[in-house]
Amino acid sequence: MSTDQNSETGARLRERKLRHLYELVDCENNKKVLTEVDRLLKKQPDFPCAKTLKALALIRMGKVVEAREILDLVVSEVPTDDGTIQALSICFKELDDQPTMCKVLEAASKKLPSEELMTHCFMAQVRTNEYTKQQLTALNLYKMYAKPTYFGWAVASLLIKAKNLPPNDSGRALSLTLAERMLSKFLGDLEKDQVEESILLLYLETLSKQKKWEEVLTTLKNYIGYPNPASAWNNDYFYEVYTQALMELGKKNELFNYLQSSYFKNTEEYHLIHRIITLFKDDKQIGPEVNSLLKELLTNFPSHVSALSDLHYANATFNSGDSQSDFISRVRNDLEMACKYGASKPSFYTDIIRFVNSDLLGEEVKQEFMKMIGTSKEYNSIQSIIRDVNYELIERDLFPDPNPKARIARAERLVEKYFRGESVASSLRSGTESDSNLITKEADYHDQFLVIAASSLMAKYDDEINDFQGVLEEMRNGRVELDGVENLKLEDEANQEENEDKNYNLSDQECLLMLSIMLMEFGLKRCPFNHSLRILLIKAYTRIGAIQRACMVSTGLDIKHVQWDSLGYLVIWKVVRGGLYAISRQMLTVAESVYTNYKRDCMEHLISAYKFGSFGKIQEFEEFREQLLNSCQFGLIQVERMLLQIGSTTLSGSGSNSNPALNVSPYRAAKSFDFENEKGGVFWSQREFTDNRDFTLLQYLERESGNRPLENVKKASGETDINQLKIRRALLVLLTEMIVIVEENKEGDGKLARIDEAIKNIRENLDSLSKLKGKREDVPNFDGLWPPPQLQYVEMGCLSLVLELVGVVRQAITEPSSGGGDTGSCLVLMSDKITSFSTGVKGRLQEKLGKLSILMMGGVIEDIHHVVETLSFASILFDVAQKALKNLEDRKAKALASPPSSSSKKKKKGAPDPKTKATSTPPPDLSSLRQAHTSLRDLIIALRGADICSYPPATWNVAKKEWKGVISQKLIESVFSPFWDEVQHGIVDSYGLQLDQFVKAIDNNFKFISKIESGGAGQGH
Amino acid sequence: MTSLKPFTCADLFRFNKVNFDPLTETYGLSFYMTYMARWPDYFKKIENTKSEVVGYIMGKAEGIGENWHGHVTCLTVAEQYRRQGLAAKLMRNLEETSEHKRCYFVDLFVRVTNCKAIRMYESLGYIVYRTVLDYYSGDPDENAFGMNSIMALMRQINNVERKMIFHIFCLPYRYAKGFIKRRS
Repeated sequence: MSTDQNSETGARLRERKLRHLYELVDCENNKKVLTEVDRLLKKQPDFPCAKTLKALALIRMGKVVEAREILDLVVSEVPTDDGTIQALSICFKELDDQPTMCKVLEAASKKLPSEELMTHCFMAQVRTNEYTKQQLTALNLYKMYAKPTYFGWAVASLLIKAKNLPPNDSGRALSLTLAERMLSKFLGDLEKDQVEESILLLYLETLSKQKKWEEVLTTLKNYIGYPNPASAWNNDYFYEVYTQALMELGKKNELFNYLQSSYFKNTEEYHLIHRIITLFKDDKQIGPEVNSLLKELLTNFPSHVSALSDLHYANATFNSGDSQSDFISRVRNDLEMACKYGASKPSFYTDIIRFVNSDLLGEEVKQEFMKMIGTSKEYNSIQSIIRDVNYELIERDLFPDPNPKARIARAERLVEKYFRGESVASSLRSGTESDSNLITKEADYHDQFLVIAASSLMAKYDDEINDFQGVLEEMRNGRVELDGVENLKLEDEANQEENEDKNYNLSDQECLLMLSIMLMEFGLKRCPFNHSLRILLIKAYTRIGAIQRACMVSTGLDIKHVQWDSLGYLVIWKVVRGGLYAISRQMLTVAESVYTNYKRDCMEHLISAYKFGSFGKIQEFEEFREQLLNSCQFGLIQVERMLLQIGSTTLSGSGSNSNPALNVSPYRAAKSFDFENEKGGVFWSQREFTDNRDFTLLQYLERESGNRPLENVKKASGETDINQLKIRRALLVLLTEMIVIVEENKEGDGKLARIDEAIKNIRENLDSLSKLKGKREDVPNFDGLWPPPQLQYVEMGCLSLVLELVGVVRQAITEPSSGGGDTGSCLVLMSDKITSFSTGVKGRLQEKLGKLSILMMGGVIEDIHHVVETLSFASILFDVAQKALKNLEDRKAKALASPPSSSSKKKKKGAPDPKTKATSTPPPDLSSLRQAHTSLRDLIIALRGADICSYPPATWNVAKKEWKGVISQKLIESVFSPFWDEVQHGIVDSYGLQLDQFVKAIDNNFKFISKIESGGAGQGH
Repeated sequence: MTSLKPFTCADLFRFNKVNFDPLTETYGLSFYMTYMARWPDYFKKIENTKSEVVGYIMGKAEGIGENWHGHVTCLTVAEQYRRQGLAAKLMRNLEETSEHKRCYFVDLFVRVTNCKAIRMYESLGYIVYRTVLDYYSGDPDENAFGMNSIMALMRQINNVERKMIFHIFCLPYRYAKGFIKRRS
């Protein structure tokens, strides 16, 4: 009794002491934790929880080795108490060492097999993907506590183990057989009403994986009453597995009857009719029944849905016996019914376009269809507007007109319709509804006219051929004759301003792009929630290189969390290459955190699925993890963020940066990247990448056609993204490993091998880039996505320069006698390369600047970015080269010196004798590097002062003349006059800001170069 | 023409068209994953004929004893697919799931200014039973109506009885709160 009392008192005392320690740990007062624990351990040396908390404090202080020593000691004692186990679990989580934690829990649950410890052990095994151990732990739990959940865990573990084995592996079949036996025995021991849904799901999954379809049907019949389910669990999975079993067993009649009865219960369910048509359209016996089912639908349930179902059938069965005239008359009737019941629904266009825009329908039927939809002259309700929007969308797709005049005419007609819709919108706005957001959104449905108008005008930029030139001039002349009175005032004003300086003439193509930008800015002011307008406007601004403006528009999309993976591509890469370094850094960091946070938490979600018996989700979660963490966008985001960080280290050397977060030396930055740990580090080339970008948003904005340009763009740009990722990753490896080797003055740990592999990787990918040039024509120019940036990157010679510079430095390190053996020859070689690169770049940029236009600005800005970035890397490599030479000289000096004396041993390794340094190392000549920077700076300054960037290229007073006769007076008054100057200023400001950022980066490089010359760049921090 | 299906993880890459709606929040990944892991039956989507996600509902079952109920966390339909009864379809599905789980009622929160949604919920038999101040954070914060529907009861009674309940319990509350302004 007294012993019990003593132990109880001791436990209370320990708890009280621990509480204080926990508080300190929570506050991250690590030093205090150490002193408190040490004091405690003096009194109670056998206190594993306190020791573990000390280890945790050490981990948080970055003293991992010391922490490991303590942890090893604690683990060897096999602790079982809750406090120690929890503290250990935090420690190993922070060390990212789940396997050791798993072993700790296995040992603890063996020593003291409690339910709590064993469940913790199971979860730890889930985290480490140890399926066999998971299954055994779960079975032990079930044996001891007889809870069905534990049985579910055991079977689910078996199934996931089987799934991860190759199909021919005997272990797979064994696991499935074992799972089936376990489940059938378990179910046999229970009454039917005692069976849990999750267990039944597991049984059906096991049977279907073994292709035991008869057994699947029997189980469904016995437990749920299929084909007429009586059970409460009418789960989607049951429906899926039932239909699959019938199909596999060839029970077509049963399947058809089941699907038919389900469809009659809910004719809105598209997947049912889709399945009926797909499965049975060609079946000799059931095919006619499908036909009569659809006829019955059309007769008894005339609706938009019935018409679409029949259209689906007609499309799928065409050429299979029906005569052309029968087919057309059937389609005509369907179209009529669809229009009658559905043309006023906003989804009409999306639902019907793929049936209508096919080669099966002749021009005549298409024309007839347009008449069926009809277009209104006056709008009296929101429905009439919706119907007309559908009309215009379908007309855009069915009757595309490459003629620029027709496009402008279409755009004007649409804008006219937009203004006509205003009356309905204002009556809706002044209704009794109090919510401004919601009502504005619906009232502004007519702004879809602006979306169609802008997309029609912008579509021209998907083509390479310029058939616009001179067309507008022709229109101006034509319009003056026709609408002479309307334009008289403009003519007068234009005459008055004839003497004004006309700085920049917009070309015909630019005129149309500006027209669409104006329309979209106007539309967004009226309805800021229209995401279609916003996306189109981002495309337009990125097309002309006004990235800062595009960035501002994109904030309205509020891209966040997982959307960075699917939608980030709309803006992120253009921002990164547009000179907006601070925004890029912020964007890339936020986007990367989505993946890293998920990576940290993903196993906890999997554990939740086990915990709550959602066994069907386990496989789905595993697949999702692969899909997200193998995302090519993730890889690019990670690599670009690191490259940006390396490039920005010239700021630290310049000493001009006030942000301490950026004040990091190249060495510190390089050391922070983890290449050796493949699990936690940056991807290497073997990985299979996924493409999760969401292109469906763009589909509505583009014309639907058989060529599927968007799919081509997604495929082609996805491939080039992977290529880009491999090249950029290799570049990152080259730079960081080079910096680390020279700074640490040792070549070990496979660093040189990694450099060689990276060089090989870049060369291989450069070869595949040459093939891209041929592919360039296959994919239309799609703003921001195509052509791939690598082409520019290679064409400017940036990559070759970095490769050459790295080659020289590498030679200086490994073969000093042949490469940079004598002091300075390495730097001379590098200087020559910089000079030739700079000359090439200057010529290329000057050529572009000579014929500069708004449409070229995007390309020019990206060119400048590539060169600025390359010069930053080059500056860092010069610094590296200089340090490498110093190291070499030190080694030479050591070799020449007499056998090491006791005093020289005391000197720090690699630290040169200051006297030797002063006499043998002349200041490096970096004039070529300076010259390259100066030359680029001058070019940027020249560009900054050009008409296009220094002030609005065409103020409204000047521009009026450009637009004379091209667009109507109403458009001029409502859209152009109020928005022109604002938009122009926005574009010019954007150019200015971006170019200023480039100049700032160059100035920082200058300071960094000065530091190299004085021998102090990249030190410290 | 649409299909009702379970929401899967891969749909998180494809739900952007729906989430661009200004009143639809995009949550962190953990939030969605938790709902999928804990209440998979309560997370459903609507797909169009192109298999694009055009609407979804996310909910849960919670509470103890008599308070065991279904809860609608998020219900949204893309602008292009509104006025087709899809929200009602999703709500019915959630109610059926709640009924299978033997919930006593289903509740939800809705912005006090979201008249369209309030009307839709009322047509489905939901009544406003309380106002939660500053429930929605924003600039400024916004109040929410707590609405609920008694599952089995609401399904059994006819429309006349439903209107009576609405007039007895719901309208006075809304007049008192100034939600409905008397028209002259």
